[in-house]
Amino acid sequence: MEFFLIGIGVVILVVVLWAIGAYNGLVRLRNLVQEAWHQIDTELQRRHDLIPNLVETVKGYAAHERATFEAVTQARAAASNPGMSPAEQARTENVLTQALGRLFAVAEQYPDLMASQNFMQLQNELTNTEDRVAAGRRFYNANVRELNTRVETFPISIIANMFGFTRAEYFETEDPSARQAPTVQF
Amino acid sequence: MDPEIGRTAVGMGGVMFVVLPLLFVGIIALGIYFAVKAFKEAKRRKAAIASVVAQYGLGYLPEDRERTRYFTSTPFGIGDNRRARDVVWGEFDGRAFETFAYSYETETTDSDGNTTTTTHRFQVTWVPLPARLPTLRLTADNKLKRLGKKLGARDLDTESHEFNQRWKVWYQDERVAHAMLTPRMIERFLAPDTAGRGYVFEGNALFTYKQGVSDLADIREVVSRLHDTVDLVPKFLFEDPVPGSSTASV
Repeated sequence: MEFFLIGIGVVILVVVLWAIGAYNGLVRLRNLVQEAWHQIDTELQRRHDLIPNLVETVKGYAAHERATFEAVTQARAAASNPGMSPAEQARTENVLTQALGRLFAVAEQYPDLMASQNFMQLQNELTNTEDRVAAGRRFYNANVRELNTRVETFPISIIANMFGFTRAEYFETEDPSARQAPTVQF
Repeated sequence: MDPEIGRTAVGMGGVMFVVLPLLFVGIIALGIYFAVKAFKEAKRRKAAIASVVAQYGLGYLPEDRERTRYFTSTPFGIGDNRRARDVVWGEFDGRAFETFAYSYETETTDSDGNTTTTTHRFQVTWVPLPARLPTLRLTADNKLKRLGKKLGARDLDTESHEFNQRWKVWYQDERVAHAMLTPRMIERFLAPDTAGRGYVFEGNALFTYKQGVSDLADIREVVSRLHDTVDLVPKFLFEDPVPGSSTASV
C-alpha cells in the first residue's frame, strides 16, 4: 500500500513538473512571438518613414505622375495605421509594395533621377529596410510556427487550452530578396 | 591415439605450415602495395598543387600550425596532433581565398586495451567576409541528426521543407540565422554542387570543408561558390547587427 501511494505521488510529481515546464515553454514562445512582432513593427515604421522623401525626390523629376504619388501616399497611410493584426498589416504592406513598384517604374523613365545621389541612397536604404523586414518576418514566422505546433500538439494542447494559449497569426508578405533576379555571369 | 585423428592432425599441421607463411607474405605484400600507392598519390597531389599554384600565381606553404587555430567549429577544435598542410592562398577575380589540407588524430581503445589511432583529413577552403558574423554552421543532415532534432537538439527550421531535410543548421544567434537564410540563400544550398560539404560562417570568414584531401583541381569552382554565397548575405548584416541579436564573439 505504501509503495502504491509513493508510486502515485511520484507520478503526480512528474506530471506537475511536466505541466510547469510545458506552461513556461508556451509563455517563453508567446513572448518571443510578441517581441519578434515588435521588431518587425520598428522596421516597418522605418520603411514608412523613408517613403515621403522618396516620393518628393521622384516628384522633382516627374511632377505630372500625380496618380502614382497619390497611390503610394494612400498605401503608406493605410499601412501606418496602428494596431493592425499581422495578417492585416501584411495585406496593407503588400499594397504598399505594389504602389512602390509603380513608383520605381516611373523613376526608371528618368535617367537623371536614377543617377541622382539622393535617389540612389534612398533606394538603397529602402532595400536595406525591406531586407530587415524580411529577416524579421522569417524569425517571427518561425516562432509562430513553433508556438502553433505546440498549441495544437497533444498533450501540450491540454495546458494551452487550460491557460488560454491560442494560435498566432503569420505575417505573410512578399520577400523582396526572392523577387531579385539572380546575377548570371558568362 | 586414434590413427584417423593422428592423420588429420598431421594434415592440419602441414596445411598451417604452408598457409601461415603465405598469409604473412601476402599481408606484407599488400602493405607494400598500399604504401607505394599512397606515396605515388601524394606525389601526384603535390605536383598537381604546384601546377595550380604556378598557373594562378598563388602563395604556398608546406605546413603552418597557426592555421589549425583559425577556426573553432567542426572539424576544428577536436582531436590531437592537428596539422594544416599544403596551405595555398591568393585571389581569383580579385577576391581572396585560402585553402589547406587539415588533419587531426583520434584514439580509440578496444576492450582488450589495444589503442588505434585514426587520422581524419579534410580539405578546408575559406574566404573573408566584409564583417564578423555570429557562427552559422550548415552540415548535411542524416538519420542520426534527424533523431537528435526530434529529441530537441538545436536546429533551425526554415520555410523550405527540402532545405530542412537536407541540412542541419547550428546557429549562435537565431535572428541572424533567419536573416542570413534568405530564399535565395536557401535555393543556393539546395543546388547539387553544395552536397557533400559542410559550410560554416565563423567570425569574419566563410569556410567549407570536405572529407579527404584535394589536389585543388576544383579550387576555382569551390572558391567561386563561396564568394557567391557571401554575396547572398543581406548587406545590412555587415553594416550593423540585427537589433536584439547578441554580438558575435567567435
